[in-house]
Amino acid sequence: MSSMPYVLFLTFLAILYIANGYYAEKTIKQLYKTTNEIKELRSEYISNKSDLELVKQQSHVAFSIKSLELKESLSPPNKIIIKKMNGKHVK
Amino acid sequence: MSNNNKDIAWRIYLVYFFCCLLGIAVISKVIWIQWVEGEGLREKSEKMTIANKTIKAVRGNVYASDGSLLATSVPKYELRFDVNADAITDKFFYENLDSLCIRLSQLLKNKSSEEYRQELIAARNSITKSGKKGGRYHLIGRNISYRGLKEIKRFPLFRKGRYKGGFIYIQRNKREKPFRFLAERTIGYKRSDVSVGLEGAYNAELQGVDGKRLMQKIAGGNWKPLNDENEIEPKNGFDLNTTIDINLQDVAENALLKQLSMHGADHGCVVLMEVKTGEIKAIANLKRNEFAGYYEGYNYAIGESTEPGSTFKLACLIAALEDGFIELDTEIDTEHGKKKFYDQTMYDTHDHGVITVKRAFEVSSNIAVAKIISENYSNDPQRFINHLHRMNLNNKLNLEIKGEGMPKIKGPKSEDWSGVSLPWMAHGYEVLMTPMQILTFYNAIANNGVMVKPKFVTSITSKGKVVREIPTEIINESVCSKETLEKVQSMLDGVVNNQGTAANLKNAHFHVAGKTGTAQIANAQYGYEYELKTSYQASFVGYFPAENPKYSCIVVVNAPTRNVYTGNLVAGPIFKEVADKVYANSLKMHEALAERDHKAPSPLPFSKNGNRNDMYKVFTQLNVPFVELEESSIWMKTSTKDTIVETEAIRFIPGLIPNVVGMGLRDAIYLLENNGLVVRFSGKGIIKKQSIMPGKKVIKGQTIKLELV
Repeated sequence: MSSMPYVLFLTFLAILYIANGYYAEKTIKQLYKTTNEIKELRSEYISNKSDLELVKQQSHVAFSIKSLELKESLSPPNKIIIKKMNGKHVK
Repeated sequence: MSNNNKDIAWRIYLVYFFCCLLGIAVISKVIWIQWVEGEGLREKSEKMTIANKTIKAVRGNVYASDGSLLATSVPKYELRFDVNADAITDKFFYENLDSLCIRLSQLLKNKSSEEYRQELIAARNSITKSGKKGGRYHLIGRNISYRGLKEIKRFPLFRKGRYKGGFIYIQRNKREKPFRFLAERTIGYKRSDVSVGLEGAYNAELQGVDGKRLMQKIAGGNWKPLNDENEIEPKNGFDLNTTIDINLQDVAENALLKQLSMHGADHGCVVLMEVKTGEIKAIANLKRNEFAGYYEGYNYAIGESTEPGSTFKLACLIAALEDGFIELDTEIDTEHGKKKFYDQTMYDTHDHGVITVKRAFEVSSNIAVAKIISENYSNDPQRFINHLHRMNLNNKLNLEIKGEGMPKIKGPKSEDWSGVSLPWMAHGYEVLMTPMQILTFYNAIANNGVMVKPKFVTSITSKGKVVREIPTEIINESVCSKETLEKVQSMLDGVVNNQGTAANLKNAHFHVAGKTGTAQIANAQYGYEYELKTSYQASFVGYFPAENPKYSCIVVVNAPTRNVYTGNLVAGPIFKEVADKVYANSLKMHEALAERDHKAPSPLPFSKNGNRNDMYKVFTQLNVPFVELEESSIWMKTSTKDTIVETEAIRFIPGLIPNVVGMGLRDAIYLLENNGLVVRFSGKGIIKKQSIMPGKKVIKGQTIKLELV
């Protein structure tokens, strides 16, 4: 009878051990689910991005503004370089 | 009584005996299973629940030069339909079938809803070999995106899920190219034993190494790792940073597409290369499909060796110039555009008369170049061939991408060498080169004689860290002497800018230098679909800006079918469009504007006279210092000094014409029209003159003319 607390303690440990096992399994399942979700969201991101890139392309923009009678400029840009002197802009 | 007792005792013994027997049987079976069969069973269970699982390495990405994704791995889905799932009754099936089919047809677009209907009914009613009702794994579609899957999951029947709706989907990793057909063939793909493009060439770097991990099966079909660490760590693939500039690629691919469709051509390619580094900024290859649309079907730029035609004349003239046989002003008689070499007749498009070597190149006279080469080298053809070899024209570029076409430069010892080989080689026949090889040669001319290898990949990285840098490779330090180089550069410039064959490429903003080529190609290689025996290959290769070349570019169009076939008209416009847009878009390429001789007298911006509130609002916004010399009124006059703008009040007396000189038009119209005057004006800027002197009496309806400068 004197060993009763000890037996109870052992039982407690056994329950803890089993609970921990289940908890680990649950975490693993969560892990799989989340990994898959990441993959799916990435896939969605890529296909949305792909659509965006498509409408962003110069050729596509040029095509869609044709009705507004706008066209691509073929004259090169004018470039002005501001020289910096002692960290200050000078002319 | 005792007899009765005895009878019961006997029965008890019997039951007891049987119970014992049963017990012994159980125990002996346990022992049997435990120790005799035990080994095998334990092994079996381990096999079912413990496995060495492969951890797939993630394949690396392919990036464009600006970091845009050209190729990456994403999950795609294969959809299956368990048409005979237990929960699907006939009623449930037929009630939802029509709406399911309509929505499938709308989303997947490959079959009509009626086709789906018939297909699904057939699948439901099919019988398997074993006599059971079949159709438990009917294929709906492959490579469905996640977005598509999300949609389909909401369809009738399917929204009930795996067991009640029979909806099954399997995830697979697929390569996706976000830019779709842009440079598709050059980015390529890798499938078990097929290696195409960069994906194939750099497969070893991209694929990574799969890992292994000991796992145990747990409830729900999942696996849990047994040990703390992986048995073999997976190594993810490296990323590839390519030289492709997606904006330039877009320009090139679309310019090519437009011209190919316009000329009904069979196929064509455009390659844009950076002169100094050999980096391929854009590479487009388009091939016509049976519906007269175009797709990236074959890497013509790299793979197709053809007779280059007139673009080859450059190499021939370099040889003759190097040997001192000719100068740019040496005169050649082109014999009225028709000359016999042995039994073969050569033609020019026009009768050019007697012309200089430079002019002959500019107008692309076949006879002139053929005469130069055959007259000077007929005693020693090998000398000519050696020149071509010295310019590396007989060597492959050894590109990392598989399938490079072999160039062919034959020599006098070759079996198919004949008396007309020299004159015919001189204008680009009896030799074979790929567009990429020709471009590399012209790029060397643009790059002051230094021939660099075309480069597709700048570096290989892993999680943003550089694993391997890929330097520019020099093939030949100098393809010809400096003097010759200057001469041929001026000839190439003349083709476009001195009324040569490509005068239509002339541009007001910058000079293009290059050479047209129109070659006849035997149609045998294109198969039966062509009625004519020969078709044409139109090409233009050159570089720009000619004064300080930044990019070189080749355009090749094969088998145009609308009776226009010359290099300048078919390939030229593509080159022009690419060059114009590249030039207009490349900020780096341009010089800064020269400083003006006449600068504004003050660093402060000049301001017109006008409304006080407007003026001060602008000054405050732009941080222009200003000071009020006089107390304020609605209208102010400005004078811009070196460090400050001084403002004074202007007062107008009602009924008298105001002084609007020095004002902007808007303020002036407001003032004058409020006084009842009609305003006419000419010019723009600041008001310089007004037709009625200030201070005169206003006559309503009078017209006042303003002059603006």
